Amino acid sequence: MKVIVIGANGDVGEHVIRKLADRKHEALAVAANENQIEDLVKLGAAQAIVYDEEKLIPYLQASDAVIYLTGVNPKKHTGKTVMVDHQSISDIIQLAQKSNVRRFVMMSAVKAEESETDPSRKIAAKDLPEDMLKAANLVYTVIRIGQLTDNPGNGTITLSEKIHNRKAEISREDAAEVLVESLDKEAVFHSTIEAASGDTPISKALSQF
Amino acid sequence: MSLTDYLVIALFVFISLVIFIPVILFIYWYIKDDRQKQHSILRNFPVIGKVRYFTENVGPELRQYLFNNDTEGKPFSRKEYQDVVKAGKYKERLIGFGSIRDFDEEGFYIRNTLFPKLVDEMKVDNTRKINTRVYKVDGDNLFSRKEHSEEKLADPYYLRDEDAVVLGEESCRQPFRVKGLVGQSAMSYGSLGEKAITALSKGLGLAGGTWMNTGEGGLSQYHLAGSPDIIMQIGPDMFGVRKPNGEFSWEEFKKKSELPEVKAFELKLAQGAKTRGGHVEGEKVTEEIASIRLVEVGKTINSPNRFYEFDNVPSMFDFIEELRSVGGKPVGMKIVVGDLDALENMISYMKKSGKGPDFITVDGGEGGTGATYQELADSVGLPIQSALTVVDEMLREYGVRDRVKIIASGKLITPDKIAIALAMGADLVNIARGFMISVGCIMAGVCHTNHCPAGVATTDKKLQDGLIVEEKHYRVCNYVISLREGLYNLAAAAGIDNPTQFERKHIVHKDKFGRVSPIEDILHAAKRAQLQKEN
Repeated sequence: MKVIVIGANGDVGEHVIRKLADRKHEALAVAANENQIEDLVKLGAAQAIVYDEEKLIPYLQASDAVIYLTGVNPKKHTGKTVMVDHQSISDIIQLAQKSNVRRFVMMSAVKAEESETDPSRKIAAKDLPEDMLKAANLVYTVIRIGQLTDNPGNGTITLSEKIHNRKAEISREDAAEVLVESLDKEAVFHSTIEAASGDTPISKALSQF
Repeated sequence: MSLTDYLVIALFVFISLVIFIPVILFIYWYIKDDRQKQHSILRNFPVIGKVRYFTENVGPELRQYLFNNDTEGKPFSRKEYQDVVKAGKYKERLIGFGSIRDFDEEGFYIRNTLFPKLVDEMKVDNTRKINTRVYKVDGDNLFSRKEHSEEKLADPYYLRDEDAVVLGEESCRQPFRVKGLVGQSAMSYGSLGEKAITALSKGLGLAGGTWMNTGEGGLSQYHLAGSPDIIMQIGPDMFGVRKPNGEFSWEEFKKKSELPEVKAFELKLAQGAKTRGGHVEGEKVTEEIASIRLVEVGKTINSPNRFYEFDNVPSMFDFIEELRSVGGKPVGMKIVVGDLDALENMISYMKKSGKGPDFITVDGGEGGTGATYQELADSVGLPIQSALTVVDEMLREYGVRDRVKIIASGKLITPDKIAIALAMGADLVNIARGFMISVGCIMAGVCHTNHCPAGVATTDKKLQDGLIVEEKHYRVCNYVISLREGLYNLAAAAGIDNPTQFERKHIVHKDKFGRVSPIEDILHAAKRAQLQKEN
């Protein structure tokens, strides 16, 4: 599968690129700046480019799936109105539809610590990227992850529709594996799932969701 | 017997315990002290004079833990020591409420730029994560600290491939390419125990982008335990590469140079702590040590303080050429800078002959460990900050700087000290004592006695029981990674995208009166001193 990874330069992105390469997928890494290109190719990306919306269409057209990563961190953005650049996600979704990429996996964050009455949620700004994706004509999966850690991945997780544990953690390596594994798991097509560390092997958890 | 009798006996026993026995002991000690002929204080002040010997004995420990200021301990202050330990244990070195450095004193400072580099702009290679272990503190109370260790995928902070430092790039069949700037300085098996050497080897092997210098005591299986990149040191006694009669053995040398772990060789002309030959008691020359060093079992070794093979620059360079052509790997030399004329003589011959070492390890006079004499440790050889600049400048003057790399050493155990050395002209930095601390050294200062309480600088099996290789090797790895991370932090502050870019212009010297002067001033002063010596 040809997979375009947007935001590949992040901590999770590095693992995503490596895992895609391990599974013989062809990864096209989209990074924030020139300096990261060399590293991404070294990690196993078939190609790495700097993010530029104008030039993204041909790359999207050549791809079978999109993995959209941003620097989402559930702790960092508590109480903030916006977690990611809405314009950018909106543009990418438009471009993806135009260029007929069917599969779209987006990484988001578990927001267990925020109540429904949190002022930042009232205006629904934080959920907007997810809502935009759901409204689009794409085979989407939104994967909300718990707090990221640097522990080595152990390949097992818990998946559910809603994780209520405010301390739920997941290693960056496992989070990346969930994103990559979910690409072809029909059980999670058109759904929003939340992932944290647990006991079920990742592939099994996704197929049985 | 009646109850009264029992009571009387009990009273008598009590009195004899509390009064008679101490009195008798006191009289015994008094007479003994008074009659002995060794200590004048005890003859004049029997018994009470013992206080002097007791307090003298526990003084270093009391000073280190209770009375010394956090910045004043020597050779390393409490602060410096803790910086190393914390880097190893927690891979976390944050401090609070600012520096306790004395800013009125003179010293070197790194010049920061107005617009530092962003993390995204740094040229660093973090593509291969390292699976290490770090401690996490659960609770820190007065008498106990609860902590647990957990696995962690750490960024290694390697240099990018294009920034890697290469020893012997032009001259060798197998140049040594290293993707980090910090390695372990020479420490022999024998001066450190097998457990310490094994922990170091495994930790350095895990960290990668670093190297391990064997010290002159030969290449042991413990050095090879973790397959790190190895620089094998050859001292005047040529341990491990000698014939039974003490001559150099090309056959043994070839064998060592064929090992994949061995990346380079270093001839030890001198070291900071001892500009003299080593000494090993016969009883310490076990069968194992003898087989590693290729010497006779049980026979005391007194190393010469100079190679028999050469006594002038041309013959030394010929020897280096031959080592390089037989081994195919870089050959360097370790020196202590003292006489600038001799140094200049050598460097000018490098230019004239086109020969010479692939790297020069410049050990500062403050370089240490091992067993030596106070006068040699204190006053022979220039400290690294003066020596380094002089060697770098001289190599540049003669136009041979690009042929040779400089490795600096001498108490450079924290990232700021390393960065300053890099700016002064070092290409790489060697650390010995920092690594000893990372495997458990508590700076007891008894390396020469084989009684190291931490089981580091001892071959005593019982004392080494305290050192668990599996636990300590992670600390070694974390320490190296932390140093490399620290160097990238400092590089970003100085406005350069990786630490190989440090130059003289990035540091400055501030004197007691607040006046700042560039590094070039050290050079002028060194030249003046040499001129005065000649006149």
